[in-house]
Amino acid sequence: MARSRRDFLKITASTASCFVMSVPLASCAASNPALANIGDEHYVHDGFVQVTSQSEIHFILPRDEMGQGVHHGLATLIAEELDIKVDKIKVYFAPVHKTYNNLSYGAQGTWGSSSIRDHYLPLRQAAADTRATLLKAAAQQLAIAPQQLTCRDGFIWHGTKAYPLGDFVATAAKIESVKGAPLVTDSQFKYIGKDSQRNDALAKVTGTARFSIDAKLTKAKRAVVIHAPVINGKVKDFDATRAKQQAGIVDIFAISSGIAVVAEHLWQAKKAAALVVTNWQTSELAAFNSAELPDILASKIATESGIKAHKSGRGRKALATASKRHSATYYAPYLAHATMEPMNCSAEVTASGCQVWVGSQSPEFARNGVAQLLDIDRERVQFHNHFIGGGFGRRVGIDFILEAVEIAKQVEGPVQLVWSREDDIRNDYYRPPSMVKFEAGVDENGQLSCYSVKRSGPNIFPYQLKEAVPAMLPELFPSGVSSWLAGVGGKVVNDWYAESSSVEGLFEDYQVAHKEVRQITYDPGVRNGYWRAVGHSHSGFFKESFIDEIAQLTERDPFDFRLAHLAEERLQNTLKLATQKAGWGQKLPAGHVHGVAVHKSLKTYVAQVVELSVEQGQIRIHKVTCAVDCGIVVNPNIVKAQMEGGILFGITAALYGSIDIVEGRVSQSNFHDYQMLRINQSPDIDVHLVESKVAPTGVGEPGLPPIAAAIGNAVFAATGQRLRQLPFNLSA
Amino acid sequence: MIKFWLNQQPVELDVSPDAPLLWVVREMLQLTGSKFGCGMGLCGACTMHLDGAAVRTCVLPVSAAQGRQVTTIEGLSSGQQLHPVQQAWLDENVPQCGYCQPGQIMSATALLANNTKPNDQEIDAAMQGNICRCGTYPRIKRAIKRAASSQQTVSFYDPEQEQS
Repeated sequence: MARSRRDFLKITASTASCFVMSVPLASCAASNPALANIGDEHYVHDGFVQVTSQSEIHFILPRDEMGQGVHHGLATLIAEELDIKVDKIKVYFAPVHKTYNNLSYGAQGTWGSSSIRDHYLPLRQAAADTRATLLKAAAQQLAIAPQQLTCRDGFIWHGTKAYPLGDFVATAAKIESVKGAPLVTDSQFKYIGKDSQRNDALAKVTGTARFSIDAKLTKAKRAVVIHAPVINGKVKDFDATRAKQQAGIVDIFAISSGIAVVAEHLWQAKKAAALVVTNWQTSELAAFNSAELPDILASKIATESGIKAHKSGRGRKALATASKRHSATYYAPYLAHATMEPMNCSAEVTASGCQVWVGSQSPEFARNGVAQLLDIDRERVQFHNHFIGGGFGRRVGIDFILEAVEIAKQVEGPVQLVWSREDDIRNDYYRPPSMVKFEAGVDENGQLSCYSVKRSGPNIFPYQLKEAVPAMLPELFPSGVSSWLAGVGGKVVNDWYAESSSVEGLFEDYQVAHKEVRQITYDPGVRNGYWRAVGHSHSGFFKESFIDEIAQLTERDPFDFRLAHLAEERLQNTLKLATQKAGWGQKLPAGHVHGVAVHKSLKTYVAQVVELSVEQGQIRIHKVTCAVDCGIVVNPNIVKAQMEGGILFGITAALYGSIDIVEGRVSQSNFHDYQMLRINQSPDIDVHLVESKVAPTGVGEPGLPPIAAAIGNAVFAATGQRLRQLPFNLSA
Repeated sequence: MIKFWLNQQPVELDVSPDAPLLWVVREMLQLTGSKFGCGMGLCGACTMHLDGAAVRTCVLPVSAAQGRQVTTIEGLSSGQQLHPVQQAWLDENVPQCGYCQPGQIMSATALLANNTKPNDQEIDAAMQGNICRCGTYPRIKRAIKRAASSQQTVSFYDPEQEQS
């Protein structure tokens, strides 16, 4: 870690005013309770670990917690090196600062199942160095040889005598910090690899966990936004005369995305919103019907060659020499995220700046976007992150945050914007619809010799660029320049360069001599975004269903066929574990069948075996057996929970998920027509972990990609019907 | 004036009788443990007890609470002692994002108050109005069975020590 950063974080005898120094962290320190509210001596190490004179240990969590377990998992890394129980560490969400960047992405964001993968060693090092520095300080202060001292359970120990850590923070802050202290060896782990109760669980079962919708702003006004019924529609004019006469109404005005209705209480705003008469200027999407997409994409695939995304061997040309050939086309529709906590954000704009209270996966994009919207310096935006009531990629987007700030600009004091479920379903960054056409060739030995895929559909990145480019450019770039750059970047992605998230997971897992992957972009213009497991979320379904088709073509067992072709030993071992635990090939209850799938995503390996029956045309999933190899496991219980969650999220998409757009309007609106899996439909899930000593990888997303294919493959085994379109419809 | 008991405390409010109980409790009474999820009684995030029965408060006018006992997640534990269902939720590490869990727990406690040993079908019937997007259902089932079979578990927490 750079020396300079450590130095400005080493602060002694601080008061709040001490933080207002000419150092980069000054502005965010003021907004970070962990760094601002300590009025006495303490020791801060690298912006992640702080020890106070009262011996409190604070951990500044660089990622956000949206269910995936980093609040506990990353704190466990700190606990291991400080040799203290996880629940003794107080966790605070990080302010916006490059210290807290996501190392793989160069921006501050929670995505890509990257938190454990990225932070495993750096956070342990920060805690190990903290421990070594405190030991060095204690040795100096007590005049005892350092090797006679140990640090454990929040104390420095000399024999049986224990000194609280806080006794040494003043000295620790003055001496030179230890760098590169040795880490705890794997065989000595006390907390890593062990189950423990999540450190956010108590707050979450007592109703005290603070989500942004719970921000304690007692004087806040409440706001709703009336959005255009046709996507991208704009307000032409509106009449709020009657609405304004309703009780509690503060103001009603147009903003860039619709009409804002602000009231003393949310129910007043909702009631008045129904009385506003709005004339909308429709958008070019008024002519768009998503039901036409499969035909459009199929014709693109039939007539265009697209952009090369991958080629090895002779590519598609090798089809000509295959002894058997097979082709199939698959399709997946638009999907919404439907997080349980609808989008919401509170904001207050004053002469001195802006405060934002929100749960966001991309605090940096949000903070910088707000600064650009208000045309103020970034450091004048104070960003308060919260627990997130479900992210799944939706809260990478900052649209609702900008909307709240646009409203707050026109309202005295803080205002809280809360979207309805209908707003949430109809104003998402949807998972892109996707069609793939596979062609495969098999040689005379029944080995897959050629594998070709054409994928057609929109790309996500051009939409992300609109929010990321202004945020990632230096502050001095005029907004016109940054949006021009975002537009150019988006065009490059669409026309010249196959975006990885459009084709990821379609071809990597199997060893085939000749492979070719091509991308044909077609984008109707509906906003797309990152949806749990992103490209893998549908690629896993496409690829693993098609591989099953080839196994059937060659008359081989789906497990054996996969094992003979998988490109990595870790894929093979994960598949073996899942099938062995599920009893693959053994007798099942009458009418029950197995289906299998295996997929690597975001560096984690997952295999699943589904046991189901088909009764009166309905799929009944009885059990899912899952194996996962994510390297070293930081918390086995949380890894299992993430597999369970990914599987159930994927089952919802496989059985029900579709966003349909008719003449530019989203047909779905709430949970009656955008169905979620419920407890009575939830199968038993049995998760097994592959033992590993290699570096850990993430688990928030990789549990999802195989499940739809495992279901579809089992349905084929049960009925002979091959399901090539999501959501599954057996009567089709 | 609307009068009712909230977590055994008398409450008197000057509020429009058609205001949904959920929002009155969250905004006027500052108890934010009960959540908003759908506004149509479809997801159960807003579940409270009305005279002991689980109700969807996003669609329940506050006037329906007149003279009655309303219990929220905040009123479930007694002092610092967790309700056995909350304890079972901890023991099974149920919550992920946690947003739906207050509603899940309110539905589960209402179930167990009437049926001390629910079978799988009874658990499904009582809990299928509560959506969990994170997929904690297998653990919710286990936690309900654990709570049903457990004696009163004693555990303490300090409401002042809430997270962030």
